[in-house]
Amino acid sequence: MKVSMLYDMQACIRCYACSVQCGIENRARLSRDGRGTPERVLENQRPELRFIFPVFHYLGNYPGRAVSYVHHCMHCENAPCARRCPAAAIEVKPYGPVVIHEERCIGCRACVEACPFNVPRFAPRMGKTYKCFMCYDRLEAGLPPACVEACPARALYFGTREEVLEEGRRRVSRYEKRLGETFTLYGAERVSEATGYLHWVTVGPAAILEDYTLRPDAAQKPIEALDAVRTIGWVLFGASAAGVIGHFFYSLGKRVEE
Amino acid sequence: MREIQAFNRFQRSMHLHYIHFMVIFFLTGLPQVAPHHFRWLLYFFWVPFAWFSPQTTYLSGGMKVAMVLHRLAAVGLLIYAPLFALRELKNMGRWQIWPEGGPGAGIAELIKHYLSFQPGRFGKYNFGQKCLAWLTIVATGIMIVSGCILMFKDAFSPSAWRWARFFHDVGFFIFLVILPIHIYMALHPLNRKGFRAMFETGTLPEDYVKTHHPLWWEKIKSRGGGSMS
Ligand code: HEM
Ligand code: SF4
Ligand code: SF4
Repeated sequence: MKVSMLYDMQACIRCYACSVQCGIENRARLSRDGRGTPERVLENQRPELRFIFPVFHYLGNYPGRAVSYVHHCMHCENAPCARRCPAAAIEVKPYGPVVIHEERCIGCRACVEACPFNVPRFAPRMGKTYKCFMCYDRLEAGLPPACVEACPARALYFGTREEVLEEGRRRVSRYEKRLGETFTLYGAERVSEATGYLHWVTVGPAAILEDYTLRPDAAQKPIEALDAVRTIGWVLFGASAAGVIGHFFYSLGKRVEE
Repeated sequence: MREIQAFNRFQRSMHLHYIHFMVIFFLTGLPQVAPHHFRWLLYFFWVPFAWFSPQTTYLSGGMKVAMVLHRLAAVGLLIYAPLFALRELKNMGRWQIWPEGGPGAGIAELIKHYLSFQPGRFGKYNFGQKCLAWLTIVATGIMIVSGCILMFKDAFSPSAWRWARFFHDVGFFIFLVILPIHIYMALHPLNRKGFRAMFETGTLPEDYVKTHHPLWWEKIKSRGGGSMS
């Protein structure tokens, strides 16, 4: 059984209680794990420990139009970050969440290169990379993710994949009826070859999704092309090795003319 | 018998060290390009390291050590390659790897040498060696430029890292394809004299040059003997 998250752009009131709660939860984890007293872990400024937060970007020509989107991991079905991590520090849980294990991360930033949504954040002071793991420790203890619990507007919603998709579709059709505009449930279907579908889907007006970085066919092209380079490379290597072996047998018993 | 210098000491030392670097680049690069087939290599990097850092696993600790070794070898190459390039560039006009004659004739001579086992009408280098030399130059350039971007990530943008990763892989596969041929040909009895020149003496016997590298011999004669790069 897969779980999923839902973020509803239309319902979000932009209070960022989710972001604050995420930071609190991650500090609670630090003191839970014996990595400092509550005072110490709060004293340390560690921005990488907030996994959901607003990002401003500017669209169009200078000075442009400022748009702030809510930045978070999409928990991709095919998790490009996990596929590229050389230390296998990123685990795709069988029930969906894409979990980064801090103790296994060596800070190489291959996941930063691979993520189509620019999610993993490298913390130079720790020499490690951080991202949302959908509160998998809470999920396994029967609790919803911290951000969902904090959201006063029910703009964040958590459940099994079926429940979440049903809720998402319900919201889409209701908004379409009320507002007379097309809405999309981004991530319900496969977004790209690289990502697959998303375990964190978004309800939003179809016309502006791309302004909020929710692009169709999201993928890091040079990184995804590595697989093709490698396949071609190994085939050519096979041909070269076969040539060498062939010539070796051909040479046996032949005399070299001096 | 007179000997003719084929490689000077510096060229031979560069070649030998490039072999050392290449062994490290390959052993530490393979677990990254083909993790499912070559991750076991990381055990060898990890075992001595685990003694200092027992909480790591072979994947995290071993990969970290592999990356550090890769970068140390890269520093070695970054010192060697510019010295080599500076020294060779001023002899560019005398390089023996410029194309001479068409590829058709070059391939015909290669067939004569490697399939009929008769001396081909080669210059100092045959057509195959020239292709190999140029591929090595190009691939080394690709590896150094893309490797520096990957090594000094903070000075570049993620989109530069992505293209660097892409071209680092392309360069790796160029080497993976040409090196088996290069190593095999170097070890083949047909090229025993060339092997001796590269790894032992630096020179080739004059008679051998006359019979096996006639085009080069003509150049040496017309220039009044002596060595050529
Ligand atoms: C010339 C022979 C070289 C070979 C065969 C080689 C091979 C490789 C391979 C196979 C990878 C893994 C790529 C991937 O994961 O897709 C890699 C990564 C890397 N290489 Fe090289 N490389 C060479 C030279 C260099 C040089 C000259 C530099 C630096 C100047 C360099 C720096 C790096 C870095 C920084 C990485 C990324 C891994 C890390 O973060 O440590 N390499 N190399
Ligand atoms: S959004 Fe990025 S970090 Fe999250 S699972 Fe997908 S590739 Fe990984
Ligand atoms: S930075 Fe950490 S999680 Fe990301 S690819 Fe490297 S080892 Fe894996």
